[in-house]
Amino acid sequence: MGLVVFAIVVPIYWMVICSLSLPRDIYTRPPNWIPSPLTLEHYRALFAEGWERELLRTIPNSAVVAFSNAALSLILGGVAAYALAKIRPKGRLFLLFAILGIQLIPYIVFAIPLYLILSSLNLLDRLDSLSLIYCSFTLPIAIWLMYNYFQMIPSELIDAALIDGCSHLRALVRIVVPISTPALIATAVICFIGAWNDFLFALILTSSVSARTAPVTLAGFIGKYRVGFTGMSAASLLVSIPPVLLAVTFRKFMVRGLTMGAIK
Amino acid sequence: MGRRQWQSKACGTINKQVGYFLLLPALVVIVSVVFYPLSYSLWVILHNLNLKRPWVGIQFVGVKNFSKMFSDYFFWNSIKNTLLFVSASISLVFTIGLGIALLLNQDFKGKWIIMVLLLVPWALPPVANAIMWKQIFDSNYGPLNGALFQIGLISSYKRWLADPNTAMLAVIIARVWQTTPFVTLLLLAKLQAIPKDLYDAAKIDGAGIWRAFYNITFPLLKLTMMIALILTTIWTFNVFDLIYVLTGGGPARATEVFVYFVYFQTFNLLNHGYGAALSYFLAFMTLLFALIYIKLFYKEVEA
Repeated sequence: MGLVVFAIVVPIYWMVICSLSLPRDIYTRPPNWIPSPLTLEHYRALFAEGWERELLRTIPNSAVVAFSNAALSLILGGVAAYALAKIRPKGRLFLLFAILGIQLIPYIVFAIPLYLILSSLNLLDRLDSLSLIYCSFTLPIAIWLMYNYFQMIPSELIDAALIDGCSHLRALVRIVVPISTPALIATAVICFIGAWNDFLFALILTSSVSARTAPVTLAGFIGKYRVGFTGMSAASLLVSIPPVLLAVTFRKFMVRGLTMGAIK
Repeated sequence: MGRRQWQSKACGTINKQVGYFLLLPALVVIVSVVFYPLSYSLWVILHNLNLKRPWVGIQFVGVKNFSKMFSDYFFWNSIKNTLLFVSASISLVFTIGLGIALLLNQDFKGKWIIMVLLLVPWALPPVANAIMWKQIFDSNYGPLNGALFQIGLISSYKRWLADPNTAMLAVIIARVWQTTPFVTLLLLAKLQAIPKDLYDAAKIDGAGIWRAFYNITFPLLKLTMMIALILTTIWTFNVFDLIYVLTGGGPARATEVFVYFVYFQTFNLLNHGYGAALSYFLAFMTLLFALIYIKLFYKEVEA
Protein backbone atom coordinates (compact mmCIF):
# COMPACT_ATOMS: atom_id res chain seq x y z
CA MET A 1 0.00 0.00 0.00
CA GLY A 2 2.87 2.29 0.78
CA LEU A 3 4.12 1.66 -2.73
CA VAL A 4 0.76 2.67 -4.21
CA VAL A 5 0.72 5.93 -2.26
CA PHE A 6 4.32 6.55 -3.26
CA ALA A 7 3.64 5.96 -6.96
CA ILE A 8 0.65 8.29 -7.01
CA VAL A 9 2.12 11.00 -4.82
CA VAL A 10 5.68 11.36 -6.10
CA PRO A 11 4.88 12.76 -9.59
CA ILE A 12 2.35 15.17 -8.08
CA TYR A 13 4.79 16.15 -5.34
CA TRP A 14 7.32 17.03 -8.02
CA MET A 15 4.82 19.27 -9.83
CA VAL A 16 3.85 21.03 -6.62
CA ILE A 17 7.38 21.71 -5.34
CA CYS A 18 8.44 22.66 -8.84
CA SER A 19 5.73 25.30 -8.99
CA LEU A 20 6.85 26.68 -5.62
CA SER A 21 10.63 26.53 -6.11
CA LEU A 22 13.13 29.10 -7.14
CA PRO A 23 14.61 28.14 -10.53
CA ARG A 24 18.02 27.62 -8.90
CA ASP A 25 16.61 24.71 -6.84
CA ILE A 26 15.20 23.00 -9.94
CA TYR A 27 17.85 23.76 -12.56
CA THR A 28 20.59 21.88 -10.79
CA ARG A 29 21.83 18.30 -10.90
CA PRO A 30 20.28 16.61 -9.00
CA PRO A 31 17.37 18.94 -8.17
CA ASN A 32 16.73 20.00 -4.57
CA TRP A 33 14.01 17.63 -3.44
CA ILE A 34 13.08 19.79 -0.49
CA PRO A 35 13.61 23.32 -1.77
CA SER A 36 13.88 26.36 0.41
CA PRO A 37 12.82 29.07 0.36
CA LEU A 38 9.47 28.55 -1.35
CA THR A 39 8.00 31.19 -3.62
CA LEU A 40 4.62 32.05 -5.09
CA GLU A 41 6.32 34.03 -7.86
CA HIS A 42 5.32 31.59 -10.65
CA TYR A 43 1.67 31.79 -9.72
CA ARG A 44 1.87 35.55 -9.47
CA ALA A 45 3.33 35.66 -12.99
CA LEU A 46 0.26 33.86 -14.33
CA PHE A 47 -1.97 36.58 -12.88
CA ALA A 48 0.26 39.51 -13.76
CA GLU A 49 0.07 41.56 -16.95
CA GLY A 50 2.13 39.69 -19.50
CA TRP A 51 1.82 37.04 -22.14
CA GLU A 52 1.33 34.34 -19.47
CA ARG A 53 -1.96 36.10 -18.75
CA GLU A 54 -3.33 34.25 -21.78
CA LEU A 55 -3.95 31.20 -19.61
CA LEU A 56 -6.05 33.17 -17.17
CA ARG A 57 -8.03 34.64 -20.05
CA THR A 58 -8.87 31.20 -21.46
CA ILE A 59 -9.86 29.62 -18.12
CA PRO A 60 -13.29 31.33 -18.22
CA ASN A 61 -13.86 29.67 -21.62
CA SER A 62 -13.19 26.29 -20.05
CA ALA A 63 -15.56 27.14 -17.22
CA VAL A 64 -18.30 28.16 -19.66
CA VAL A 65 -18.09 24.96 -21.75
CA ALA A 66 -17.74 22.76 -18.67
CA PHE A 67 -20.70 24.28 -16.80
CA SER A 68 -22.97 24.46 -19.82
CA ASN A 69 -22.05 20.90 -20.75
CA ALA A 70 -22.86 19.68 -17.25
CA ALA A 71 -26.18 21.56 -17.20
CA LEU A 72 -27.25 20.49 -20.69
CA SER A 73 -26.29 16.85 -20.16
CA LEU A 74 -28.07 16.82 -16.83
CA ILE A 75 -31.31 18.28 -18.18
CA LEU A 76 -31.53 16.57 -21.58
CA GLY A 77 -30.03 13.34 -20.27
CA GLY A 78 -32.17 13.33 -17.13
CA VAL A 79 -35.39 13.73 -19.09
CA ALA A 80 -34.33 11.02 -21.55
CA ALA A 81 -33.22 8.67 -18.76
CA TYR A 82 -36.54 9.17 -16.98
CA ALA A 83 -38.44 8.32 -20.15
CA LEU A 84 -36.33 5.21 -20.73
CA ALA A 85 -36.43 3.96 -17.15
CA LYS A 86 -39.94 4.87 -16.06
CA ILE A 87 -42.15 5.23 -19.14
CA ARG A 88 -40.33 2.41 -20.90
CA PRO A 89 -41.43 3.06 -24.50
CA LYS A 90 -41.02 0.40 -27.18
CA GLY A 91 -37.55 0.10 -28.63
CA ARG A 92 -36.05 1.26 -25.34
CA LEU A 93 -33.31 -1.37 -25.28
CA PHE A 94 -32.41 -0.69 -28.89
CA LEU A 95 -32.05 3.03 -28.13
CA LEU A 96 -29.99 2.38 -25.02
CA PHE A 97 -27.55 0.19 -26.85
CA ALA A 98 -27.38 2.49 -29.87
CA ILE A 99 -26.43 5.27 -27.45
CA LEU A 100 -23.85 2.99 -25.86
CA GLY A 101 -22.39 2.19 -29.28
CA ILE A 102 -22.07 5.85 -30.25
CA GLN A 103 -20.01 6.44 -27.14
CA LEU A 104 -17.44 3.98 -28.47
CA ILE A 105 -16.83 5.58 -31.88
CA PRO A 106 -13.36 7.17 -31.97
CA TYR A 107 -13.53 10.95 -31.52
CA ILE A 108 -11.20 11.59 -34.44
CA VAL A 109 -13.92 10.19 -36.73
CA PHE A 110 -16.13 13.13 -35.76
CA ALA A 111 -13.40 15.71 -35.42
CA ILE A 112 -12.54 15.82 -39.14
CA PRO A 113 -16.05 16.31 -40.60
CA LEU A 114 -17.06 18.61 -37.72
CA TYR A 115 -14.13 20.84 -38.53
CA LEU A 116 -15.10 20.99 -42.22
CA ILE A 117 -18.81 21.52 -41.50
CA LEU A 118 -18.28 24.20 -38.87
CA SER A 119 -15.75 26.03 -41.01
CA SER A 120 -18.15 26.13 -43.97
CA LEU A 121 -20.89 27.47 -41.68
CA ASN A 122 -18.51 29.99 -40.08
CA LEU A 123 -19.14 28.43 -36.68
CA LEU A 124 -15.53 27.57 -35.84
CA ASP A 125 -13.86 29.11 -32.81
CA ARG A 126 -17.10 29.56 -30.87
CA LEU A 127 -17.95 28.46 -27.35
CA ASP A 128 -21.54 27.52 -28.17
CA SER A 129 -20.53 25.08 -30.95
CA LEU A 130 -17.96 23.53 -28.65
CA SER A 131 -20.46 23.15 -25.79
CA LEU A 132 -23.01 21.49 -28.03
CA ILE A 133 -20.42 19.05 -29.36
CA TYR A 134 -19.27 18.13 -25.86
CA CYS A 135 -22.88 17.66 -24.85
CA SER A 136 -23.48 15.09 -27.57
CA PHE A 137 -20.44 13.14 -26.39
CA THR A 138 -21.26 13.19 -22.68
CA LEU A 139 -25.01 12.59 -23.12
CA PRO A 140 -24.60 8.81 -23.63
CA ILE A 141 -22.74 8.44 -20.30
CA ALA A 142 -25.19 10.82 -18.59
CA ILE A 143 -28.21 8.89 -19.90
CA TRP A 144 -26.82 5.50 -18.91
CA LEU A 145 -25.75 6.61 -15.46
CA MET A 146 -29.08 8.21 -14.61
CA TYR A 147 -31.03 5.40 -16.30
CA ASN A 148 -29.36 2.85 -14.04
CA TYR A 149 -30.15 4.93 -11.00
CA PHE A 150 -33.74 5.79 -11.93
CA GLN A 151 -34.47 2.13 -12.46
CA MET A 152 -33.93 1.50 -8.76
CA ILE A 153 -36.67 4.00 -7.83
CA PRO A 154 -39.91 2.09 -7.19
CA SER A 155 -42.41 2.75 -9.98
CA GLU A 156 -45.23 2.89 -7.41
CA LEU A 157 -43.95 6.28 -6.25
CA ILE A 158 -44.33 7.73 -9.73
CA ASP A 159 -47.58 5.95 -10.50
CA ALA A 160 -49.10 7.41 -7.33
CA ALA A 161 -48.12 10.89 -8.43
CA LEU A 162 -49.45 10.34 -11.95
CA ILE A 163 -52.82 9.17 -10.57
CA ASP A 164 -52.96 12.34 -8.49
CA GLY A 165 -52.79 14.25 -11.75
CA CYS A 166 -49.08 15.01 -11.92
CA SER A 167 -47.55 15.26 -15.38
CA HIS A 168 -44.45 13.23 -16.13
CA LEU A 169 -42.22 16.28 -15.99
CA ARG A 170 -43.69 17.24 -12.62
CA ALA A 171 -43.15 13.70 -11.32
CA LEU A 172 -39.56 13.87 -12.51
CA VAL A 173 -38.88 17.20 -10.80
CA ARG A 174 -40.85 16.56 -7.60
CA ILE A 175 -40.18 12.88 -6.94
CA VAL A 176 -37.27 11.52 -8.96
CA VAL A 177 -34.84 14.45 -8.73
CA PRO A 178 -34.91 14.84 -4.90
CA ILE A 179 -34.09 11.18 -4.29
CA SER A 180 -31.50 10.93 -7.07
CA THR A 181 -28.98 13.54 -5.92
CA PRO A 182 -26.07 11.07 -5.81
CA ALA A 183 -26.58 10.13 -9.47
CA LEU A 184 -27.19 13.73 -10.53
CA ILE A 185 -24.06 14.97 -8.80
CA ALA A 186 -21.95 12.18 -10.30
CA THR A 187 -23.34 12.92 -13.77
CA ALA A 188 -22.72 16.65 -13.42
CA VAL A 189 -19.14 16.14 -12.22
CA ILE A 190 -18.29 13.59 -14.92
CA CYS A 191 -19.70 15.87 -17.65
CA PHE A 192 -17.94 18.91 -16.22
CA ILE A 193 -14.60 17.11 -16.11
CA GLY A 194 -15.14 15.62 -19.58
CA ALA A 195 -15.52 19.06 -21.13
CA TRP A 196 -12.85 20.73 -19.01
CA ASN A 197 -10.22 18.08 -19.74
CA ASP A 198 -10.90 17.61 -23.46
CA PHE A 199 -8.04 18.52 -25.73
CA LEU A 200 -8.72 17.14 -29.22
CA PHE A 201 -11.89 19.06 -30.07
CA ALA A 202 -10.76 22.27 -28.40
CA LEU A 203 -7.47 22.10 -30.31
CA ILE A 204 -9.11 21.55 -33.68
CA LEU A 205 -12.22 23.69 -33.36
CA THR A 206 -10.97 26.77 -31.51
CA SER A 207 -8.06 29.14 -32.02
CA SER A 208 -8.54 32.65 -30.60
CA VAL A 209 -8.34 33.65 -26.95
CA SER A 210 -12.10 34.25 -26.97
CA ALA A 211 -12.96 30.57 -27.46
CA ARG A 212 -9.82 28.53 -26.79
CA THR A 213 -9.95 26.40 -23.64
CA ALA A 214 -7.29 26.28 -20.93
CA PRO A 215 -5.69 22.90 -21.85
CA VAL A 216 -4.99 24.15 -25.38
CA THR A 217 -3.35 27.32 -24.05
CA LEU A 218 -1.39 25.18 -21.62
CA ALA A 219 -0.12 22.93 -24.41
CA GLY A 220 0.83 26.06 -26.36
CA PHE A 221 3.14 27.14 -23.51
CA ILE A 222 5.39 24.14 -24.14
CA GLY A 223 8.56 25.14 -25.83
CA LYS A 224 8.26 28.81 -24.93
CA TYR A 225 11.66 29.07 -23.33
CA ARG A 226 10.62 31.67 -20.80
CA VAL A 227 8.04 29.43 -19.11
CA GLY A 228 10.44 26.74 -17.91
CA PHE A 229 9.73 23.91 -15.48
CA THR A 230 8.55 26.12 -12.66
CA GLY A 231 6.11 28.19 -14.71
CA MET A 232 4.79 25.13 -16.54
CA SER A 233 4.13 23.35 -13.25
CA ALA A 234 2.28 26.32 -11.80
CA ALA A 235 0.20 26.67 -14.97
CA SER A 236 -0.58 22.92 -15.12
CA LEU A 237 -1.63 22.85 -11.48
CA LEU A 238 -3.85 25.88 -11.95
CA VAL A 239 -5.69 24.14 -14.79
CA SER A 240 -5.86 20.87 -12.80
CA ILE A 241 -7.39 22.34 -9.64
CA PRO A 242 -11.06 22.54 -10.73
CA PRO A 243 -11.49 18.95 -11.96
CA VAL A 244 -9.42 17.41 -9.16
CA LEU A 245 -11.17 19.46 -6.50
CA LEU A 246 -14.59 18.45 -7.83
CA ALA A 247 -13.69 14.75 -7.98
CA VAL A 248 -12.25 14.74 -4.47
CA THR A 249 -15.08 16.80 -2.93
CA PHE A 250 -17.73 14.49 -4.32
CA ARG A 251 -15.69 11.32 -3.97
CA LYS A 252 -18.55 9.41 -2.31
CA PHE A 253 -20.72 9.85 -5.38
CA MET A 254 -17.90 9.53 -7.90
CA VAL A 255 -16.89 5.94 -7.22
CA ARG A 256 -20.47 4.77 -7.47
CA GLY A 257 -21.20 7.00 -10.44
CA LEU A 258 -18.17 5.82 -12.37
CA THR A 259 -19.19 2.21 -12.00
CA MET A 260 -22.75 3.02 -13.00
CA GLY A 261 -21.77 4.90 -16.13
CA ALA A 262 -19.37 2.29 -17.41
CA ILE A 263 -20.66 -0.87 -15.84
CA LYS A 264 -23.96 -1.43 -14.11
CA MET B 1 -64.96 -4.60 -17.54
CA GLY B 2 -64.46 -4.14 -21.25
CA ARG B 3 -64.49 -0.40 -20.88
CA ARG B 4 -61.91 -0.40 -18.15
CA GLN B 5 -59.56 -2.49 -20.21
CA TRP B 6 -59.94 -0.12 -23.13
CA GLN B 7 -59.26 2.85 -20.92
CA SER B 8 -56.07 1.50 -19.39
CA LYS B 9 -54.83 0.47 -22.81
CA ALA B 10 -55.40 3.94 -24.23
CA CYS B 11 -53.67 5.48 -21.24
CA GLY B 12 -50.72 3.19 -21.77
CA THR B 13 -50.35 4.23 -25.40
CA ILE B 14 -50.42 7.94 -24.55
CA ASN B 15 -47.88 7.26 -21.85
CA LYS B 16 -45.48 5.65 -24.28
CA GLN B 17 -45.86 8.49 -26.75
CA VAL B 18 -44.92 10.96 -24.02
CA GLY B 19 -41.85 8.78 -23.56
CA TYR B 20 -40.71 9.37 -27.14
CA PHE B 21 -41.43 13.06 -26.77
CA LEU B 22 -39.20 13.30 -23.70
CA LEU B 23 -36.43 11.44 -25.48
CA LEU B 24 -36.51 13.79 -28.44
CA PRO B 25 -34.26 16.66 -27.23
CA ALA B 26 -31.40 14.35 -26.28
CA LEU B 27 -31.74 12.36 -29.50
CA VAL B 28 -31.78 15.53 -31.65
CA VAL B 29 -28.47 16.66 -30.12
CA ILE B 30 -26.86 13.25 -30.49
CA VAL B 31 -28.07 12.71 -34.05
CA SER B 32 -27.14 16.18 -35.31
CA VAL B 33 -23.61 16.06 -33.91
CA VAL B 34 -23.04 12.37 -34.56
CA PHE B 35 -24.86 11.19 -37.67
CA TYR B 36 -24.59 14.23 -39.88
CA PRO B 37 -20.77 14.43 -39.55
CA LEU B 38 -20.50 10.68 -40.07
CA SER B 39 -22.33 10.84 -43.37
CA TYR B 40 -20.53 14.01 -44.40
CA SER B 41 -17.28 12.22 -43.69
CA LEU B 42 -18.22 9.48 -46.16
CA TRP B 43 -18.53 12.11 -48.90
CA VAL B 44 -15.14 13.53 -47.93
CA ILE B 45 -13.51 10.11 -48.16
CA LEU B 46 -14.67 9.60 -51.72
CA HIS B 47 -13.20 12.91 -52.81
CA ASN B 48 -9.79 14.40 -53.15
CA LEU B 49 -9.96 17.18 -50.58
CA ASN B 50 -6.56 18.69 -50.11
CA LEU B 51 -6.77 22.19 -48.72
CA LYS B 52 -3.08 22.73 -49.39
CA ARG B 53 -3.63 22.59 -53.13
CA PRO B 54 -7.05 24.20 -53.59
CA TRP B 55 -6.42 24.87 -57.28
CA VAL B 56 -6.69 21.17 -57.99
CA GLY B 57 -10.34 21.41 -56.99
CA ILE B 58 -12.48 18.70 -55.48
CA GLN B 59 -12.46 15.54 -57.55
CA PHE B 60 -14.21 12.26 -57.06
CA VAL B 61 -11.53 9.66 -56.35
CA GLY B 62 -13.58 6.67 -55.21
CA VAL B 63 -11.77 4.30 -52.87
CA LYS B 64 -8.34 5.74 -53.64
CA ASN B 65 -8.06 7.19 -50.15
CA PHE B 66 -8.49 3.71 -48.75
CA SER B 67 -6.14 1.90 -51.09
CA LYS B 68 -3.51 4.57 -50.49
CA MET B 69 -3.14 3.73 -46.81
CA PHE B 70 -1.96 0.16 -47.37
CA SER B 71 1.06 1.29 -49.34
CA ASP B 72 1.84 4.07 -46.87
CA TYR B 73 4.87 3.15 -44.78
CA PHE B 74 3.84 5.47 -41.96
CA PHE B 75 0.39 3.92 -41.83
CA TRP B 76 1.94 0.56 -40.95
CA ASN B 77 4.41 2.28 -38.65
CA SER B 78 1.57 3.87 -36.66
CA ILE B 79 -0.32 0.55 -36.53
CA LYS B 80 2.75 -1.15 -35.11
CA ASN B 81 3.24 1.62 -32.52
CA THR B 82 -0.42 1.55 -31.55
CA LEU B 83 -0.45 -2.22 -31.01
CA LEU B 84 2.66 -2.00 -28.84
CA PHE B 85 1.32 0.96 -26.89
CA VAL B 86 -2.15 -0.54 -26.35
CA SER B 87 -1.05 -4.07 -25.44
CA ALA B 88 1.68 -2.93 -23.06
CA SER B 89 -0.37 -0.29 -21.27
CA ILE B 90 -3.51 -2.42 -21.01
CA SER B 91 -1.71 -5.42 -19.55
CA LEU B 92 0.11 -3.21 -17.05
CA VAL B 93 -3.04 -1.30 -16.10
CA PHE B 94 -4.96 -4.51 -15.45
CA THR B 95 -2.26 -6.36 -13.55
CA ILE B 96 -1.55 -3.38 -11.30
CA GLY B 97 -5.22 -2.37 -11.08
CA LEU B 98 -6.37 -5.83 -10.01
CA GLY B 99 -3.56 -6.06 -7.48
CA ILE B 100 -4.44 -2.74 -5.87
CA ALA B 101 -8.17 -3.55 -5.93
CA LEU B 102 -7.56 -6.85 -4.11
CA LEU B 103 -5.48 -5.05 -1.49
CA LEU B 104 -8.11 -2.34 -1.05
CA ASN B 105 -10.82 -4.96 -0.64
CA GLN B 106 -9.46 -5.59 2.86
CA ASP B 107 -10.20 -3.29 5.74
CA PHE B 108 -7.36 -1.23 7.14
CA LYS B 109 -6.73 2.15 8.67
CA GLY B 110 -6.35 5.12 6.36
CA LYS B 111 -7.94 3.35 3.41
CA TRP B 112 -9.93 6.45 2.54
CA ILE B 113 -6.70 8.34 1.86
CA ILE B 114 -5.85 5.91 -0.93
CA MET B 115 -9.40 6.09 -2.27
CA VAL B 116 -9.08 9.88 -2.51
CA LEU B 117 -5.62 9.66 -4.04
CA LEU B 118 -6.91 7.28 -6.71
CA LEU B 119 -9.34 9.92 -7.93
CA VAL B 120 -6.58 12.46 -8.56
CA PRO B 121 -4.91 10.89 -11.65
CA TRP B 122 -8.34 10.14 -13.09
CA ALA B 123 -9.49 13.76 -12.77
CA LEU B 124 -6.20 15.33 -13.86
CA PRO B 125 -6.42 16.91 -17.33
CA PRO B 126 -4.47 14.64 -19.73
CA VAL B 127 -2.52 17.66 -20.96
CA ALA B 128 -1.37 18.42 -17.40
CA ASN B 129 -0.48 14.75 -16.92
CA ALA B 130 1.58 14.81 -20.11
CA ILE B 131 3.39 18.00 -19.08
CA MET B 132 4.16 16.44 -15.70
CA TRP B 133 5.79 13.39 -17.32
CA LYS B 134 7.56 15.51 -19.90
CA GLN B 135 9.35 17.20 -17.04
CA ILE B 136 9.99 13.96 -15.14
CA PHE B 137 11.69 12.43 -18.20
CA ASP B 138 13.53 15.61 -19.13
CA SER B 139 17.11 15.00 -20.22
CA ASN B 140 18.71 18.06 -18.64
CA TYR B 141 17.08 18.65 -15.27
CA GLY B 142 14.43 15.93 -15.00
CA PRO B 143 13.79 14.45 -11.56
CA LEU B 144 13.98 10.86 -12.88
CA ASN B 145 17.51 11.44 -14.07
CA GLY B 146 18.26 13.22 -10.82
CA ALA B 147 16.96 10.40 -8.65
CA LEU B 148 18.57 7.58 -10.64
CA PHE B 149 21.86 9.47 -10.71
CA GLN B 150 21.75 10.07 -6.98
CA ILE B 151 21.04 6.40 -6.21
CA GLY B 152 23.86 5.50 -8.59
CA LEU B 153 21.80 3.51 -11.11
CA ILE B 154 22.98 5.70 -13.99
CA SER B 155 26.32 7.39 -14.35
CA SER B 156 25.14 10.17 -16.62
CA TYR B 157 21.84 11.85 -17.45
CA LYS B 158 19.84 9.88 -20.07
CA ARG B 159 17.79 11.33 -22.90
CA TRP B 160 14.68 9.21 -22.27
CA LEU B 161 12.43 10.95 -24.77
CA ALA B 162 15.03 11.10 -27.54
CA ASP B 163 15.64 7.36 -27.70
CA PRO B 164 12.91 5.49 -29.66
CA ASN B 165 12.76 2.61 -27.15
CA THR B 166 12.66 4.58 -23.94
CA ALA B 167 10.33 7.19 -25.46
CA MET B 168 7.66 4.55 -26.02
CA LEU B 169 8.24 3.29 -22.50
CA ALA B 170 7.80 6.82 -21.15
CA VAL B 171 4.50 7.22 -22.99
CA ILE B 172 3.29 3.88 -21.61
CA ILE B 173 4.26 4.77 -18.04
CA ALA B 174 2.47 8.12 -18.25
CA ARG B 175 -0.64 6.40 -19.58
CA VAL B 176 -0.58 3.62 -17.00
CA TRP B 177 -0.19 6.14 -14.18
CA GLN B 178 -3.26 8.03 -15.33
CA THR B 179 -5.63 5.13 -16.08
CA THR B 180 -4.85 2.46 -13.48
CA PRO B 181 -6.88 4.23 -10.76
CA PHE B 182 -10.05 4.14 -12.85
CA VAL B 183 -9.73 0.40 -13.47
CA THR B 184 -8.89 -0.15 -9.80
CA LEU B 185 -12.06 1.65 -8.71
CA LEU B 186 -14.21 -0.31 -11.16
CA LEU B 187 -12.84 -3.67 -10.04
CA LEU B 188 -12.98 -2.69 -6.37
CA ALA B 189 -16.66 -1.78 -6.64
CA LYS B 190 -17.38 -5.23 -8.03
CA LEU B 191 -15.19 -6.97 -5.45
CA GLN B 192 -17.03 -5.26 -2.62
CA ALA B 193 -20.33 -6.59 -3.96
CA ILE B 194 -19.18 -10.19 -3.44
CA PRO B 195 -20.76 -11.50 -0.19
CA LYS B 196 -18.19 -12.13 2.54
CA ASP B 197 -19.94 -15.36 3.59
CA LEU B 198 -18.70 -17.00 0.42
CA TYR B 199 -15.13 -16.59 1.61
CA ASP B 200 -16.02 -17.70 5.13
CA ALA B 201 -17.61 -20.84 3.73
CA ALA B 202 -14.55 -21.49 1.58
CA LYS B 203 -12.31 -21.07 4.60
CA ILE B 204 -14.33 -23.61 6.57
CA ASP B 205 -14.02 -26.00 3.64
CA GLY B 206 -10.28 -25.56 3.91
CA ALA B 207 -9.67 -23.52 0.76
CA GLY B 208 -6.56 -21.34 0.73
CA ILE B 209 -6.33 -17.75 -0.52
CA TRP B 210 -5.47 -18.81 -4.07
CA ARG B 211 -8.25 -21.34 -4.31
CA ALA B 212 -10.74 -18.82 -2.94
CA PHE B 213 -9.59 -16.32 -5.54
CA TYR B 214 -9.75 -18.82 -8.36
CA ASN B 215 -13.11 -20.34 -7.42
CA ILE B 216 -15.01 -17.36 -6.00
CA THR B 217 -13.48 -14.00 -6.90
CA PHE B 218 -12.42 -14.71 -10.45
CA PRO B 219 -15.71 -16.17 -11.79
CA LEU B 220 -17.73 -13.30 -10.25
CA LEU B 221 -15.27 -10.70 -11.48
CA LYS B 222 -14.85 -12.08 -14.99
CA LEU B 223 -17.65 -10.21 -16.72
CA THR B 224 -16.76 -6.86 -15.14
CA MET B 225 -13.12 -7.48 -16.05
CA MET B 226 -14.00 -8.15 -19.67
CA ILE B 227 -16.17 -5.05 -19.93
CA ALA B 228 -13.54 -2.85 -18.33
CA LEU B 229 -10.85 -4.44 -20.49
CA ILE B 230 -12.63 -3.71 -23.75
CA LEU B 231 -13.65 -0.23 -22.69
CA THR B 232 -10.12 0.76 -21.73
CA THR B 233 -8.71 -0.87 -24.85
CA ILE B 234 -10.97 1.27 -27.03
CA TRP B 235 -10.00 4.37 -25.06
CA THR B 236 -6.33 3.56 -25.34
CA PHE B 237 -6.63 3.22 -29.12
CA ASN B 238 -7.85 6.83 -29.05
CA VAL B 239 -5.07 8.40 -27.01
CA PHE B 240 -4.05 11.65 -28.62
CA ASP B 241 -3.33 14.41 -26.08
CA LEU B 242 -0.61 12.46 -24.31
CA ILE B 243 1.34 11.87 -27.54
CA TYR B 244 0.78 15.43 -28.76
CA VAL B 245 2.31 16.94 -25.63
CA LEU B 246 4.84 14.34 -24.50
CA THR B 247 6.60 13.34 -27.71
CA GLY B 248 4.80 14.82 -30.70
CA GLY B 249 5.00 11.33 -32.20
CA GLY B 250 8.81 11.37 -32.12
CA PRO B 251 11.65 10.59 -31.98
CA ALA B 252 11.70 9.52 -35.63
CA ARG B 253 7.95 8.78 -35.43
CA ALA B 254 8.60 5.98 -32.93
CA THR B 255 5.66 6.99 -30.73
CA GLU B 256 3.33 8.06 -33.51
CA VAL B 257 0.18 6.13 -32.61
CA PHE B 258 -2.72 5.86 -35.03
CA VAL B 259 -4.88 8.77 -33.89
CA TYR B 260 -1.86 11.08 -33.88
CA PHE B 261 -1.03 9.91 -37.42
CA VAL B 262 -4.59 10.68 -38.52
CA TYR B 263 -4.45 14.11 -36.88
CA PHE B 264 -1.12 14.86 -38.52
CA GLN B 265 -2.33 13.85 -41.99
CA THR B 266 -5.53 15.84 -41.61
CA PHE B 267 -4.60 19.01 -39.79
CA ASN B 268 -0.89 19.42 -40.53
CA LEU B 269 -0.65 18.05 -44.06
CA LEU B 270 -4.28 19.08 -44.73
CA ASN B 271 -5.15 15.81 -46.46
CA HIS B 272 -8.73 15.78 -45.28
CA GLY B 273 -9.90 13.00 -47.59
CA TYR B 274 -7.06 10.69 -46.56
CA GLY B 275 -7.49 11.62 -42.90
CA ALA B 276 -11.21 10.84 -43.00
CA ALA B 277 -10.50 7.47 -44.63
CA LEU B 278 -7.94 6.68 -41.93
CA SER B 279 -10.38 7.66 -39.20
CA TYR B 280 -12.95 5.30 -40.68
CA PHE B 281 -10.36 2.54 -40.66
CA LEU B 282 -9.93 3.13 -36.92
CA ALA B 283 -13.70 3.08 -36.47
CA PHE B 284 -13.91 -0.32 -38.18
CA MET B 285 -11.16 -1.69 -35.98
CA THR B 286 -12.98 -0.34 -32.93
CA LEU B 287 -16.27 -1.84 -34.12
CA LEU B 288 -15.03 -5.35 -33.44
CA PHE B 289 -14.23 -4.52 -29.82
CA ALA B 290 -17.41 -2.47 -29.51
CA LEU B 291 -19.60 -5.38 -30.55
CA ILE B 292 -18.06 -7.65 -27.93
CA TYR B 293 -18.44 -4.88 -25.37
CA ILE B 294 -22.12 -4.35 -26.15
CA LYS B 295 -22.77 -8.08 -26.04
CA LEU B 296 -21.12 -8.41 -22.62
CA PHE B 297 -22.84 -5.31 -21.34
CA TYR B 298 -26.17 -6.72 -22.46
CA LYS B 299 -25.43 -9.86 -20.44
CA GLU B 300 -24.67 -7.72 -17.40
CA VAL B 301 -27.86 -5.69 -17.80
CA GLU B 302 -29.94 -8.83 -18.25
CA ALA B 303 -28.40 -10.47 -15.21
